[in-house]
Amino acid sequence: MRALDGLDLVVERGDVHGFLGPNGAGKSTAIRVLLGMLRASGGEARVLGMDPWHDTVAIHRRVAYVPGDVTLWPTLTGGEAIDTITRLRGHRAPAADRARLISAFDFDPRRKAKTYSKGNRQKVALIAAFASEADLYILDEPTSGLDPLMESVFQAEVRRIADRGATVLLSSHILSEVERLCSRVSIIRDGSIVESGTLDELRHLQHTVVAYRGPAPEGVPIADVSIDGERVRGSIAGEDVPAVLRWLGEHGARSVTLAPPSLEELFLRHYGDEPRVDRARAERAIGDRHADASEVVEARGAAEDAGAADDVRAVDDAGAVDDAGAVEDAAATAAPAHPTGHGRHSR
Amino acid sequence: MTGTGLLLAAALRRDRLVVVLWVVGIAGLWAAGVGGVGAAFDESARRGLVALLSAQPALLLARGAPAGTGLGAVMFVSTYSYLAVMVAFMMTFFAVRHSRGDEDAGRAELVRGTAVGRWAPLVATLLAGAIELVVVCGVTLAASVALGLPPLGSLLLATALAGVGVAAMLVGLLAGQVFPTSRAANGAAAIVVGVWFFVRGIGDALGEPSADLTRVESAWLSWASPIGWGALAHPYADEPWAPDGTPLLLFVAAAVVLGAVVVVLEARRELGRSLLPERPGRGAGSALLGWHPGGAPVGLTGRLLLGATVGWTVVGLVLGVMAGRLAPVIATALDDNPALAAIVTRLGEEGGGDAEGTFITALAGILGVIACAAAMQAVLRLRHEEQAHGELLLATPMRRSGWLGSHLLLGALAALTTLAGFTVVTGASLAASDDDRWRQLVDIAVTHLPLVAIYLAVGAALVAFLPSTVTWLGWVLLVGLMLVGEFAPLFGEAWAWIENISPFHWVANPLAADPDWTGSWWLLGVAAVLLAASVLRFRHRDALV
Repeated sequence: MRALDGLDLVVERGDVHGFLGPNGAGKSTAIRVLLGMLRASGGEARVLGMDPWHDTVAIHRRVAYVPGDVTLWPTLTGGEAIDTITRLRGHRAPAADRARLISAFDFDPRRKAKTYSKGNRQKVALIAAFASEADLYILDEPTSGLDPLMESVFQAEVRRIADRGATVLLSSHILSEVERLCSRVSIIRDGSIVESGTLDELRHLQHTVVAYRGPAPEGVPIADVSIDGERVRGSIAGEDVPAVLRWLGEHGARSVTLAPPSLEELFLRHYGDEPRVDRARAERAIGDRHADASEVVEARGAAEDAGAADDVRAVDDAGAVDDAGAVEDAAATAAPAHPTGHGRHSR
Repeated sequence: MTGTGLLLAAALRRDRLVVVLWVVGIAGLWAAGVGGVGAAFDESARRGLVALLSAQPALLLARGAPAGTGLGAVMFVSTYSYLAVMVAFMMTFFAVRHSRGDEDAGRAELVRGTAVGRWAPLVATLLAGAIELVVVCGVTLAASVALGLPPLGSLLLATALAGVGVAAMLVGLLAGQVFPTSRAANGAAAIVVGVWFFVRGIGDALGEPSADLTRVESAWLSWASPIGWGALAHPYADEPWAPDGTPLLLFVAAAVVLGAVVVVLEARRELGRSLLPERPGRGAGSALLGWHPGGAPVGLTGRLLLGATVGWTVVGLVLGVMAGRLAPVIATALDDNPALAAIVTRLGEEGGGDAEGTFITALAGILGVIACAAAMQAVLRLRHEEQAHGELLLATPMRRSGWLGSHLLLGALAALTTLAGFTVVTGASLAASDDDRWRQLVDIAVTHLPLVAIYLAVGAALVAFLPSTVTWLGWVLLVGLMLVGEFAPLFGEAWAWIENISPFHWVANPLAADPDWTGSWWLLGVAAVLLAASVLRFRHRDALV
């Protein structure tokens, strides 16, 4: 069984990269491969330019991780847990920073971890992460259990570390959070990346819903047309919008509305019952808890030379499909340093 | 009480494998022993055995006071204390697992949120515990009757075990109400069981052997222990004594008192609360807590294991006090009984030590098991840490080999402090009564070091190679091999070889004029190989979080 199959993921240096997908899609498995906890059976994974399985310790010196489900030591206080993790990480925050985070997250560090609620346990991991000066932050559903106030504190902290130039891989189900924070997004489904790019790019790929009163479309690229009297509805591909608008103008259409897909529609499309991946492959992939995956995630680092891209990159290597079509390897490639036009997001 | 039936069914279903293991362990040990002794020992051999037992206070302490030389009586005195301790542990673990353990894991909250009555979980737990006890004791009873032991005695034995079990279950529930974590509750309940064992042991060791060395009249102290009550019923006693169920009535009294306390506490207790509350602690971690030389989180591991290490060390100190205070008393008592003195002199010539030395060595044998438990528990804890906190810890620059190393180091330390505590207290106590045997005491402690190494290695190997079975298999290997080492001679000729698989069989005799250390070196070698393989494997296997 495969947990991940043909997973191509690239996170560029300085990006806040959203990592989305339904429960069981393989997000956490991919992250555990990136952290060297699981070993990929195929493909190649690079984090900060290093191999996560062999260079685990070197990578972890520069990574801060927040798991989705934080279990603490029942006999340690929250403050002790924070300090233990940051000290083990080796980059301890100045006392002022720690105090600022504790107060920002409205956290009582003196209580025993056993008495903390889920949200408070999550705060321990978040404070320990944001108190660390890491190059790469891997956050796996970090805000589950946080209240909306804390959610905004979280977003402010992510912007702070992103402004500092750190790279963030943010796995989340909270779409508004992703929309606000992330410059790029990858959607994983059944162990494969089904969509990856900036939000604008993703929107662009999706069909825009068009509705108007006027003549039935003829010779224009409008799909899924439904006609009710003179009311017409249909969908258009992003790149066809100008042509369709021109045609509508020429043919005297009235009450024209164009609705770009909301982020939610975008995700529902991938989360829902309309899989964009091959069914057979999906069935092979579901439910696997093991890491014998031919996937790769590469977090490529070039911190040595400033200005180089710092990537979490995955590229589907179509050539690796074997005869049976069962294995689709993804080879992560080292992306060249390319200052992207989208830039870092810090709205 | 709504939902009691469903909860009872769920509890029994959840425990079905555990119960089978306990039945095999408890009834199996009893039946194998009865069969083996019945075949291998005739009346005169048994008479010799009982005389030997009566002559060695250490054996009286470890096993119990004999009440005759019949097959049942010999078997009872040989195994009852161990059977009772096993039943007691079965029930304390059971009680904590189904009370505090469920609350710790959040299952209790899930269950309480459904349509179950306030008292249903507790009642279901009590009923499930009673049913499991009936199964274990019933099989023991059936086995002994089938093997031809007197039915009345067998019934008394089964009732005594059940009584110990009920008392232990209530102690476990009480511990779960008092302590905030299941780890602490299990530890506290285990200490209570240990006290029961040693209180009865001291009472028996100070007992009065009859002139013909066929029975020992326990001292009053044995009446202070529930394990002692079962022994005092003398289930298989020969003339002039007779089986007498009266002491078993004490179990009823104990159950009523303990049960009332449990019910009163439960009526006042809110879900998840404990009598000893969690108090606020330090808001910041000390520098020591984050200490991780070479990527080994020694500070964190040390902090996590501190409580257990202190607990094990205190056990060592208490045993040391017992050894130091009892050894001289026992030596004096021997002077009063010439038949005993003769046997002791002969034993001394065979084993190489005097009465005090033999007694201390025997107590140290128990201590050795405890030191092994301390060492292995520290290493097995790593599996829990991996599962619960692996995601957090493995994402730090900590080294996996360092992680395992920190648990090995602190496990070794816990074993060493336990052994050292015993040695120092015993030595000081004896030195105070002008008996300087420091040299011998150090030798005794050193003979146990290879065992400690073996169980460090066993723990590491389980964590590295068999992470999913780790906890119970470790304890089976410790207790099982200890019992094999202890009881193999009872299983008869055909099974004599089995003692060779027990590491406890290979421990050097520290009292011998020229101890044979070959076995010790073998143990160390095996431990080293196992440790090396485990470290390699732990570094290279997937993290199972």
